[in-house]
Amino acid sequence: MTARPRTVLLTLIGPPLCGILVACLVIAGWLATGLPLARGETWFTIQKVPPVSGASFTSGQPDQVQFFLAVGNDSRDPNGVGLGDAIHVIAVNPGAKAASIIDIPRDTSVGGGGKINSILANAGLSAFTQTISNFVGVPIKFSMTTNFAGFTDMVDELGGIDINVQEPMHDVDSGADFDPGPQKLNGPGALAFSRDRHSFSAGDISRTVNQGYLLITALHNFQQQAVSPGGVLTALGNLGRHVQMENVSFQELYRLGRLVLTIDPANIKNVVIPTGGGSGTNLTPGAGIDSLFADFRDDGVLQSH
Amino acid sequence: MRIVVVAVAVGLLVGSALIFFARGDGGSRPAKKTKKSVSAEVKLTLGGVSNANAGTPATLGNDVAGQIMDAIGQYVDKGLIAPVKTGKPPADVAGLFDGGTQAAIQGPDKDVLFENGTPKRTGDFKPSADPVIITALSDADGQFVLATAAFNYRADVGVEGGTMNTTRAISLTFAPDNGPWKITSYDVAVTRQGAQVEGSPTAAASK
Repeated sequence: MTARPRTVLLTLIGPPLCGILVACLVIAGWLATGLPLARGETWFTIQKVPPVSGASFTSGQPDQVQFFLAVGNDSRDPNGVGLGDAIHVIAVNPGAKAASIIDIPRDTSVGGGGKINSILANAGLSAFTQTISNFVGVPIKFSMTTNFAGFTDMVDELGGIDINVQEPMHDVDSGADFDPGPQKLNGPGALAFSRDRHSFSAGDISRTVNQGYLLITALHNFQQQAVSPGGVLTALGNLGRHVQMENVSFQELYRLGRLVLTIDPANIKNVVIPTGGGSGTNLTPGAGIDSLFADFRDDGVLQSH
Repeated sequence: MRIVVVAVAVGLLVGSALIFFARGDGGSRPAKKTKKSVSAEVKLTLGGVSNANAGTPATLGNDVAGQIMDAIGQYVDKGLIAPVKTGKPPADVAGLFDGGTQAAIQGPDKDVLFENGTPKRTGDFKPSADPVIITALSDADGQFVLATAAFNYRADVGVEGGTMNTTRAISLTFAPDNGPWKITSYDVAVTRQGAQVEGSPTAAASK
């Protein structure tokens, strides 16, 4: 073959051959990086998605420690407010996902003014809240109280509380009649559990601790039932019908409630204040109370108690 | 002639009565179950309203229930369906949420709340939704302050390698926000299976 025919052949075959080579390179590139589905569409990388994912968020949830007061009063009148016999200052620390309950026996004497429980009956919830706030040294954002009828109706509407009774409780006065172990408390049962002080050697001190234990157990019940947001609203309706509240809106309660539902009950400490005497009237604050309140006050979490 | 006049008069009376009894009353009546879809893309209806009263018995009005349902319709159309159809991120959904949620819906929650960052659609798209159940809370004065709307949404989307099935259990809590009710809290759980899902055998066909 002469040089001229070879040149003609290359001229004829060369361009198509180059085109095929370029096309092969482009196809190889497509295969390596992912094929665009159609002409004109942008390049993309196929990403697998997770089989399960979730998102939960509530606007305006508190990010600072919240202190509030929950009080059970002894009024038998469904619309009345009596003596503040079950007194609990509750702190919730959003960052630590922890909470604390300071239990104050009803017979505690504050400022030499007689038993603390009478302030609720005589001066009302606002004055009572202010007294407790001054006593503990924390800013109590809001407070709530319920009476006998309110408490029993509320527990019944919740469907009762499943609790593990720690000690035998057999007391005619309160109506408590529980053996140790798992129990389902209806409204009257929960009230009896909260009122019984005769089944324990420490009397009112043990009763006060039991009240805090009941609150934590009720939270645990809620968490186990995986209450939906709609269920939280239903529970708030129940609360509103049976509890007198001050300085809190239902939107604030919803936000706080959703936060509290994320707290592991194991991260909630329930501590009764030290008192100077045994069960009886006019208990004086005992040694170590300043240390307890300081521990409570700084971040709402009891690190050393 | 007299018969005609009487017939016309009776007809007018019956017509007036029908109009009187059929007309709406501006939302003071209880919200009722409606079959009207609030989505342009999928059948999305109100399944029922449960009223949680903290005080004076009250019933959520049709006006508020309708406003909430309209917002849900927009959430589904713009946040779940349009991104699949167009291949673009969800748009015009921020206004459905209150100010406190804005940062969260633009963060990691975006991929859960909305169809965002999912494999490109290559085939059929079949969305469906269960009826919406609203639970509404009224305060001591009977004023409604919060309402949660819960429903399930499903979508079968043709993607590379097969079909991806997505189920969302959605719970959106609304509160009045200077007038309109906006989403102030949400809980969304997404479950996916099929093609393009991590751990799924069909996901291997991505290349």
